[in-house]
Amino acid sequence: MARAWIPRCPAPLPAGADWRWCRGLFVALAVLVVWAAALSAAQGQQTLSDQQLKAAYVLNFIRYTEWPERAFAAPDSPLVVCVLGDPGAAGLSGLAGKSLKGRPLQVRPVFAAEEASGCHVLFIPESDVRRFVTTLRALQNRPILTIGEADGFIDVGGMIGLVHIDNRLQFEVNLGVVQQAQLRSSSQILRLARNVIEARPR
Amino acid sequence: MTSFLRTLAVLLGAALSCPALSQAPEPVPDMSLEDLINTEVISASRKAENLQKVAAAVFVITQEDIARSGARSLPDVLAMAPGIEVARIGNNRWAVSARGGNSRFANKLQVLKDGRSIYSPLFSGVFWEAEDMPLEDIKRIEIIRGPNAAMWGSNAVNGTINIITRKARDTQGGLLAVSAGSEDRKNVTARYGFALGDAGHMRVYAKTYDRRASFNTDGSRAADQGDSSMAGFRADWLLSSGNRLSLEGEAYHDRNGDSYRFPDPRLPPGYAALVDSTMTLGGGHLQGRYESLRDDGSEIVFQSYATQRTLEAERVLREERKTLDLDFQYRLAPSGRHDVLLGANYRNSSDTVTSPAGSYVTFAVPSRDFQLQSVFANDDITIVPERFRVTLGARMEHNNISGAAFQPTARFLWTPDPARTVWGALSRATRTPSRAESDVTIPLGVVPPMPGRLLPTWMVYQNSGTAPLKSEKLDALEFGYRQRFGHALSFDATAFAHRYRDGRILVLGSPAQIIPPYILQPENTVYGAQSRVSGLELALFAQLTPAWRLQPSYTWMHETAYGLGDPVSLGAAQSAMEKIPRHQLSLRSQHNLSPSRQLDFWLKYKSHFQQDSTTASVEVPNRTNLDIRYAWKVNRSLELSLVGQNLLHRRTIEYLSDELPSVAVETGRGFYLKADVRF
Repeated sequence: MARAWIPRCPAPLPAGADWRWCRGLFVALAVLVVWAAALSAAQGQQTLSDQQLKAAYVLNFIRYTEWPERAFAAPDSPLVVCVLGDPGAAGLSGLAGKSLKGRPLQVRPVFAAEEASGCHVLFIPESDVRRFVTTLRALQNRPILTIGEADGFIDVGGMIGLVHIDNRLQFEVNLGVVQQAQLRSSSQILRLARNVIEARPR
Repeated sequence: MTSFLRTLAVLLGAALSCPALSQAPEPVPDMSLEDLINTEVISASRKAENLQKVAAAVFVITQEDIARSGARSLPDVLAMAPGIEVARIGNNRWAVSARGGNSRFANKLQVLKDGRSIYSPLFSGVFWEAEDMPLEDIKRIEIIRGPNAAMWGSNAVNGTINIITRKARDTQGGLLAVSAGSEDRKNVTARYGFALGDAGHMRVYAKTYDRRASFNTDGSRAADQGDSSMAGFRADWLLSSGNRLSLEGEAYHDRNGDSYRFPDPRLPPGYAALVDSTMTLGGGHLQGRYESLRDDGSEIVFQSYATQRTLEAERVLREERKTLDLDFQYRLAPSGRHDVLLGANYRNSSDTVTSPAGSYVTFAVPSRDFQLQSVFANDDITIVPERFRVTLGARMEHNNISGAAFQPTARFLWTPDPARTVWGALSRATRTPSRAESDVTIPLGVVPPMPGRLLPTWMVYQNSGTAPLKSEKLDALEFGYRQRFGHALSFDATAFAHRYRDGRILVLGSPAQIIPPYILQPENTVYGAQSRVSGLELALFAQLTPAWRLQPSYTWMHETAYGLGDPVSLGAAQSAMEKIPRHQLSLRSQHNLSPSRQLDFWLKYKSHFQQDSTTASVEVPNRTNLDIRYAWKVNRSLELSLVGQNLLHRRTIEYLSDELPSVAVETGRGFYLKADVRF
């Protein structure tokens, strides 16, 4: 009765196979699962989420990018991080209130190229490239650092693309577009990028 | 079975009560770039998010899923998807189908590798043994169950398997993956990726393996050992922003043993001729793709490929085939509510099929030229932004075997809130008749002498040529529901009802002829059989803790055959359909014991089914099986893993080969040790 919950072994068994051995394996499996659960729960959750990593990346890209002086009204005017769509959904609202290079960070949503005039960074969470390529190309000669998550973001005119490879979030850079916009990426970015390409903007 | 499910439910219940599902505003960590690129990501929700907007039964297999499954071949990987049945005929042959109708050459499945169809028109199916590839180069596999010929082309009847390889720039540097084991004796993949100028990348690869034979029922090794080698490349160039060019090519050579059992009344009672044959598949392909994304968001994609293959089954048949395919797609600039995709496709596949003297398999026409043209349109219409969408699509296709076919689909997608999706679809698709269907002559069986009939009767399939070939049609109704619970849990359910018409069935043909020492009874194809298949497909994704992920899936299927309305064809239709397990369960667990150690297992269950082929009848029993993988990342460039497969049985039969009457074999328990070196 106590063993009633143990599943029956598939029948017919190959000749010579032992019922107890087979049942034993099921028990071992059940123990393994419970043990695994207990172990994982005990480990706690120090690991970072996708969203946190993205925000940390954006912070670093700002740190290692130089904007031309004309991009700011005053030496202490804020650095504006724009997000196409909802900054909360993109996981970047946590950047607001931080300060970097002596400038406070502001985060705000934009919905079209015309609204992006005051931005220093434009983050594009959209995954369908066709929906933002018009915006992206309208901005390509302005000193706005474009960061995106779409597959092949740097192929369509974006500057820095976040890519998921081998269980890690990494990034790739299209240096041709960065230079065209008169931004300067420090060697730190170029050294750690998974790929740096130099394609002509259209 | 019920007690098994109960156990599972208890375990799942216990697991789900873990406190990992809360969603709080997250602080931005201040980490250096160096630390960031080395941090492992928990991206449980990403998979679910990408699927949230799709009005079809889609399941995605990622590179991580593949690596952690321990699977050694492409078809074995597919078994993790609900609604897909993968049965090993032996160690080197597979039967793969979606939503029932499984066969060694399951004829209602479209399979694409980077947009190139690998479906062979000879028997209307995929020679999976010749379609291996470096599994490490796969970016993801999208499995779309149900018909969507409007999008994916002809034969996307029961489903589409879309294999997408990694971009060349994502596989830079070197990889050497070497494994040795008891069944997979040796398996070596070598790949190297490098840059071509400022904006181009390329990888070259080679793979070779050697797999032992399966087992005969008495425990001795059978004759189906296999080996394979291939070499290929992929190169991508970014010509300018938005203009991409890709080139891919491969050459391969694959060899598999097989034993056929052809019925022959000229032999002593038992009436079986055993033919040992090695099947050699050799050939290559070259494929190019150009994509241009213009400033307004409109996009042009032009793709073309040429393939060449020689198949030689010793003492049985030889096929040479050349295929050329041209494909053009134009996506209009997104404007207002409409997102329109238009396309046109042309395919020419010419073959020469010959049989050696004395072969049991002959083709009436040695050479044929198959031509297929199609145009399609698909419009994604937003009715209420972010809430309700309707998709209307259709493909108009014409081929020189069965004529024109119209394949429409209508779909809706309702997202009441970002966490929930409801979708439905009504579609029609058609299957193109195979080359064998129209031209082959193959013995099906021998009826022993009986009172009143003193000679044995040889049942031989031969198409009389009088009945025109017809395309089998499917009308399908599908509904799906998906829900996300926080970042850690997502649920996906699909229910479907498929109705097939003009199905192919074998009936007695022209009157029997007495040709001593036997009576010849021809059998022919007629079209018009009806059948129904309905089912339920469930998948769960549970990131129970940051280190532990559980992915169960379950499929239930039920089929009813109607035949042509008479008892004989009903029986034939029923035995053709009975190859589906009613219940199918897969439970995958991926557990990071520490940042450098992984322990994964994969439990599979399939319920029994009866399988009658022309020469044998097998009751495939209920089967539970288990694979376990343990991996140790020694350092950034070396990973060692130990995998045990089919651990619960010494040997099992999974499937009996059909179409070609192979002798039944059993697959066995196996172990292998693998080392991955990256440089």
